[in-house]
Order: sequence, then C-alpha cells, then structure tokens
Amino acid sequence: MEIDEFVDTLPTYNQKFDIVVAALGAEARATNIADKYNISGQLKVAIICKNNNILSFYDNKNFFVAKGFLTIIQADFFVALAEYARNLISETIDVALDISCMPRQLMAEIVHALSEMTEIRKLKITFCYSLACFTSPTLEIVPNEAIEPVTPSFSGWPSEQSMPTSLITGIGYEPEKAEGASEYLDPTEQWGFIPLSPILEFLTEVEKNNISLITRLTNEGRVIKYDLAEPSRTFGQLEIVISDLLRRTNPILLPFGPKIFFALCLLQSIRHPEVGVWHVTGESNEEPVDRAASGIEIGFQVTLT
Amino acid sequence: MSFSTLSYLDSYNARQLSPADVARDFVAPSQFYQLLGLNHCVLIGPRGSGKTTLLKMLQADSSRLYPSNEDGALPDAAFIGIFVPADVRWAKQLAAHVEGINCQRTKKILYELAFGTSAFLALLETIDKCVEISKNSNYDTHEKFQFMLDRQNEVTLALRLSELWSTPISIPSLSELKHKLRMRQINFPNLASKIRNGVPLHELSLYDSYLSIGWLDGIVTAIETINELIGKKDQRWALLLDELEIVPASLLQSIVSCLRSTSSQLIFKLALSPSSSSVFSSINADEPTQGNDFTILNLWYNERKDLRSFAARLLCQALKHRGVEVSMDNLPMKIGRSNIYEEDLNDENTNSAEAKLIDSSLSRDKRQTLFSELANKDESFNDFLRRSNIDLKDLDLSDRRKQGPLIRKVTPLVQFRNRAIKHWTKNKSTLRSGKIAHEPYFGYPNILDITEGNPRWILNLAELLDGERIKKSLPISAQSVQATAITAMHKRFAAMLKVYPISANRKEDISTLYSFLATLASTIRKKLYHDAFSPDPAQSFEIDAEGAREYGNFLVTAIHLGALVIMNPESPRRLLGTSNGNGLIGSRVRICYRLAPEFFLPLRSTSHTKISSAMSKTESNESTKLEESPLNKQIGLF
Repeated sequence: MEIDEFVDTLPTYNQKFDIVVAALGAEARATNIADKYNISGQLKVAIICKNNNILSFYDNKNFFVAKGFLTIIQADFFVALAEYARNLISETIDVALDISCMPRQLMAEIVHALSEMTEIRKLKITFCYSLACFTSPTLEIVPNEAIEPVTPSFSGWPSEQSMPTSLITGIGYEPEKAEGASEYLDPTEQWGFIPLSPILEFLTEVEKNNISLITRLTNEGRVIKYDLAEPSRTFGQLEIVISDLLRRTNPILLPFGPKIFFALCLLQSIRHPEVGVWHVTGESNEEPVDRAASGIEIGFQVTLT
Repeated sequence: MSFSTLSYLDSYNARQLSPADVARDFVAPSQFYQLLGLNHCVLIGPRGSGKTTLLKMLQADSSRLYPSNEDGALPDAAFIGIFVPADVRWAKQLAAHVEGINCQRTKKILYELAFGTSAFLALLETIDKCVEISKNSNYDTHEKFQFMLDRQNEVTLALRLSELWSTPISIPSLSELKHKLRMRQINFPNLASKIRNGVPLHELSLYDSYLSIGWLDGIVTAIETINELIGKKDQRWALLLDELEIVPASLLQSIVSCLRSTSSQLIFKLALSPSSSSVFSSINADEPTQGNDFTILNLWYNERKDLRSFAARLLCQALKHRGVEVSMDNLPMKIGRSNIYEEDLNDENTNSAEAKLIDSSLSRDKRQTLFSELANKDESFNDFLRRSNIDLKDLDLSDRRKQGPLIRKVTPLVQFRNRAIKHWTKNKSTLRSGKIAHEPYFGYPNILDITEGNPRWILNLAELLDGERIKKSLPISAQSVQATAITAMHKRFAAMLKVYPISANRKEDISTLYSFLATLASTIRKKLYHDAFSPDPAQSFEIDAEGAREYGNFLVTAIHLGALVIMNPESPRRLLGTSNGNGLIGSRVRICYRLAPEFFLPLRSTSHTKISSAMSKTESNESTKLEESPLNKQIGLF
C-alpha cells in the first residue's frame, strides 16, 4: 500500500471508527484518548502490554472493560484482526490507533498487519498521541542491549548494498541512548531530530542528556528541530532528509523520543521500503513510570491505498 | 593543507571513502606489505585498527597509488582485489529477513545467496574499474589491470556470466547483468518471505536455478571465464571480505573453509575482530590451519617500538595535513619529550620481560627527589628499598650496578605512586585528592603509547592537538594543549563505553562496559596504590574459564572495541585451533593505554591475575584498607 493522504487531525468527540486499538499498560494516560474523545468502533481492543500490571494498570483495565473494549494479549489481537478482515463488507476501513503507551515493536506489528490486509483497498489510520506531563528521566544509564530492526518487515533492505550506512536518529530525553546507538552503527553520516514539545521542560532535558551528540551534529549542521504538534510537517522534514541520504547512503531510522516520531518513521519506511526502522532492546528492563496525561493531544490521519 | 578532497587523514572510517581517497594519504603499517602476497590472509584487529583501509588499499583503483616501502621500492599486489562490502546494517537486516525460518539448512542457503549476489556484483564493479584504468593509464605500469574489453568481448562476457549465474539478460551488456543482479538483491526479502510462509526452497529452485548456485562456484567459474576471455589464464584475484565478525556463523564457516583449497586463481584476504577469531574454533581437523593454509596478520602492537614507529609516522602525516609543521625527525621535539617512559627490552608479554626505563630528561637529582618523597611517606616503599639494597643517595641506572635495572624498572611506578599517595602505613592508606594528573602521559613517546597505534585513535589525537593548538595559540608541546587533548581522548572513549550496547545479564553493578572495565582497573589501582609497594604489581588479566563464562560478552565487546588488548602474540593462533567454543580462554589481556589516564594507571602491564579473581569483590574492593575517602570519591581525583 502507498501513502495517499496525510493530515494533522484528532478524532472528533464520539467519532465512530471500524477499529479502535489502545495499549493497556501501567501509565495513567493510557485511557486519556478513549475517555476524552469517547471514540467507538466495531472492534475495540486494549492490548495488554507485558510486565506492566502495576501502577495504573488495574484502573486502566477497569476503564477499558467498562467502555466495552476487549482486553486481550497481543497474539489474540492479530487473530481478532484477521477474523475481522475475513468478515469485511467494505473495502475501506477506518482505524484509530492510540499510540501513547504502545510499545514500539507492537506499534510496528500493528501498522504492518493493517497495511498488509489484502481484503481492503483503502486504509485510514488516525494516530492519536496523548502527551504526558513532564517527569524527569531516570538518571541511571540503562545500557542498550542490542540495536536491531524493530520487526523483520521494517528492517529495510537497500537496492545498493555497497553504499555506506547513514543514520537518522530521533533524540529522546534518556541519557546518551542515541549516542550509544550511533557509536554502535558507526554511520558515515548522521542526522538528529530533536522534538520541540508544547511542554518546555522536555527540550531542556533532551539537550542536557545528549549534549555530546547534539554538539557534534550541530557542528556538522545535521540537527533538525521538529514541532511535535505538527506531524505532517515533521513527516515532510523526514522525507527531505531520507530522499537526500538515499542518493549516497543506506539510511537507518532510529527513533528515540516521543512515540509519535516513531510512528512517522514507520510510515516513512512504508514509503521507502529500503529504509529500516530500528530500535534498541533492553528498554523492557527499565522501571515503568506512571505518566499522567498532560491534557495535550496530538494526532494525524494517514490514508493508504 | 587541503580539505577540498576527502582524505583518510580527515576521516575515522575508511568505509565512506573511495579507494583513491584512501590511497592518496595512506600511511602503511608493516602488515600491509605482507598482505600483498599471493597467500590467503586473515587480518585481525579491533575497531579502528585499519582493517577496512588495508582491504580498500588492495582494490584496483588504489593499488595504482601505493606508497613506496621503507627501502623506497614500489610494492605491487600480484592480484586484482574484489572488495565485497558488508557492515553491521547488512548483517542485521539479513538476520531480520530470515527470522522465522526454522530450517537451518535453508537459512544457510539464503545467507549464501545474499552474500553471493553481493560478491557477483562486486566482481562486476571490479571489472568496470579495471576497464576504466586500462583506458586511462600506461600499459607498462598497470599491466595486470589491462582489460581492453571491446564491445564484442563485453557481449561475450556478459552472456557467459549471465548463463553461469542463471540470470537472463535482455541486453547483452555487463551493466544489464549488474541491473538484473541488483533486482535479485532487491527481491531477497520477498524470497525469504515466501519461504517463511511455507513455500519450500527446493520448489522455488525448480523455477529459478540461481537459487541453487553456490557463491564460491559462481565466483570461481566467473573468474576462469574472465581470465580466458582476457587471455590471462593465470591472473590471480583476491576476494576482500571485511567485518567478518558480523557475518552469520554458518556463512562464515563456508567462507573460512575456502582457505584450504579453492582455485589457484582465487585468494582470500579476510578481516575480523580479535574478539571473534574464536569463530574458527569449530573448524574440523582437516580444515585450514594457520601457517599452512593462511597467514594471520595482527593489527595491534605487542612491541612498543612497532607501535611507536607506526603511530609517529601517522601522527606526523595527520598533523602535517592539518598544517602543523612537523617531520619524523623533529616530532619528539615538536611534541616534547616525556620525563619518564617505558621501554621494552624484547617482549613485555612474557614473564621474563623486564621494563626498562630510558632516562632521557629526568635528571639524577629529580629522580632522587622523587624516590625520597615516596620513601618519606610510604613505609612499604622504604621496606622495598631496604630489601633491595637501593641507596637513595646513589640511584645509578646503569647496568654496571646491580640495582640499576631494578631502579629503571620501578621508576615509572614510583612516579605514579608518589602522585597518588598522601601517606601509607600498614594500617592506613590515604590517597591525595585534586585534579587528575596528566603529566605522566605527556610528550614523546607516552602520548603515542596512548593511541595503541590504532589509526582511528591517532587521527583523533591529531585532530584534538590541532584544535587545541589553534584555540589556545600555543604549540602542540604545551602541557595545557596536551592535557586537554589527552582528557578528551579518554573521556570520549569512556563515554562510548558507558553507552555501547551490550547484551549481558545484569550482574550486580556491572551493567555497562565501562563499569566492567572500571572494576578491572580498580583491581590494578588497589595493587598500585593501596597495597604495599611492589616492583611488579599485576596489571593484566588472564581470561580463565570462570571469567569467560561470567563476563564473556563484556570481554568480547571490550576486545572488539580495543578497550582490552590481547597480549599474548600466539593467542590468535591458539584461538584458531581451539575447539571448546570459547576461544578467549587462556588469552592475556590488558586495559588499553587510552584508558590509562581515566584510571591513572601506568603505561605498562607486566604480571597478571585471573579475570574471575579481579572481578570478585575481595580483589577489586579498593576501600578495604582506606581509612579516608571511599573509592567512589577517590577515583579520578588525583
């Protein structure tokens, strides 16, 4: 499937979708989108995230159950999705995907599964993101365990293997994660995307915790600041950098930072299958944090045909 | 100074450079000339040690530009190099695409298929280069690259290769063949996906015989065809394979097994990390052996004279490239001489080896002051002097005196201990506080030792020295220039070790490479500064079975990055022969000198202790004898 349309938008109150998918985890903000916009769908699912049945998990679960969501594990979701696809009447489906607390790998698998549904001609996905209130990142350096494609379908596979590897990094506020990844991949050229959040404390932490990488990339003129509230513009910024790099290198996307940037990278990989979306493993070792919704939501809708 | 073209003196990684860019300013290590022979070679070196650079120097368009060797003679490679690119991205993508395929044999075939397509494309690229060289160069000087392929010959070659590689072409040209191979490369994920979804490989092979071509047969028969067509039946070709440590094990075995016998026309020049040389461990007895079938070339230095010789040449070249007026003759003067430095007699790695101090600029008076200062505050040093019959008033270094060699040997240790210790008695040890002292690392040759002869680190040092020289308007011999450069060198490396990915069970506090190395360093520091003075404290480590089992991934990654240096020169040979699955056991390693300023360690490594002992709490706990300032406050303070 190819990307046909891209607009910045959020669901309207009481909007009806065909499918609504949220993640059931430990953060209080997991229910914010479903609650605030009261969205509904023929298939409403809250996917239970592994090892997250602490903090606000049970409150979240009670909320989703009360709202009529199926609370199911990941494997069952894909069975349910396949079943839904088999019984489809229309060739178009409209999906709301709340990515606020969704693990990266799960998001990639869902996007891949939706984009590979052979039963449909047109797929609309509304990505919804509930921005968290500011919480300080853990100062302890949690080591990256491995750096690899987020899933086989988003691993990328260039047509010109002999070209050197380049790296596009989304920089998050975790201390030196991105730096470690860039050392590992040893790219010939690296670009850094820094999020400008409506909550200003995030930027201070991002810059403080990645000072050496940001200084180096700034000196090379390879830092791009993106507005978290304007996904379509960020998608365009990514497109420019990827298209340019593809002429001389084999780029890898390594999106740390807000999940919404990760979602944009997945879509870029659909657009440019030779470009992979990678992640670091070991994040599951990090202690879950109960992040509350800030009251700011960001969303965009992409149409694939 | 010219920055208009890319030079390998500006870059830390040759991967991004064209062979011609690499060749232009190339400074050849001695191993390079051995690499030019007609034998199979395995280059072993840590990251940054120049493996890619050396392999790229064997390609057609760089081998025209070889520098003369020490005798002034122009070397020549008697083969045409085919560089097959591979990096960690390629390896991880390949692994991701075959994920979910359970049949190991099918996986192996898919790996070989992907590799084979890359190798065929690399061969076609090499032919292109040779044709280009033929058009633009003098026949006599580059005879082996003469590929005057007229249109008819190209058509014939394209058709024959297309047939050999079961890759039909619609236009009989090499560029069309290249295009079709690229299409095969692009379609690899689809092929893997079909197999993952249950279509048997043998069924797909019925419709596409390319899937059953072995990569080696494909290359060898292609070379024979090319040689026949260009009228040079004995033309040798070399497959240049970089970063083999990242290649899937089954593919690597298939490559390594070629070292015994393949074709007289095809030789292999392989490169891999020292931490991964154990991949050879599962080779059967009838498979290739070092010495008989291939030669191992280590790209790290076990002898200081070799390290310093190469580091001085490359540093000199890199500084000149940056506009610093320096030559090999005046380099020691330009960067200043170290007060005290280590000199090996023969080999620092054997127990009998004795560190010898060349007393260049430390006068007898200063030496006496140094020894007296320590003797006044350290009763264990006093005991040592008494036991060894060393008279503080007569510190004669010459071999004429019985104590001369011993005084030479301990002087660097005395310098470090004197700086570190405030007071030492049997019951109480107090370290000095203050800023990290970099003086023991200043000047020639100590600053060269810090680079370990690693080209990337040498270029890094040149960049830092030059940057500080300009910023401070001081010569590179200035202590403040060198102090900042040395600090940046070890801090940058330490930062990388804190964040480099490591897959390991989190054991107590050991979660990063840095914390692993800091624990090893604290063992050395305990012996140097907290225990009674010893003329020969253990400063290196033997990898024992328990240490390898508990910290295998840390050891492998640290060696790969050059943070730990394998010391026993015979070690890689032993690694190749080992069959226990863990080739590192029995190796002796030391913390690299680049990290010496980070932990305030001398630039030496004589006796050793076991890794498992060093990592045990009792060995590494520095605070056992400290009465003031716990370790976490002390480390890095003086």
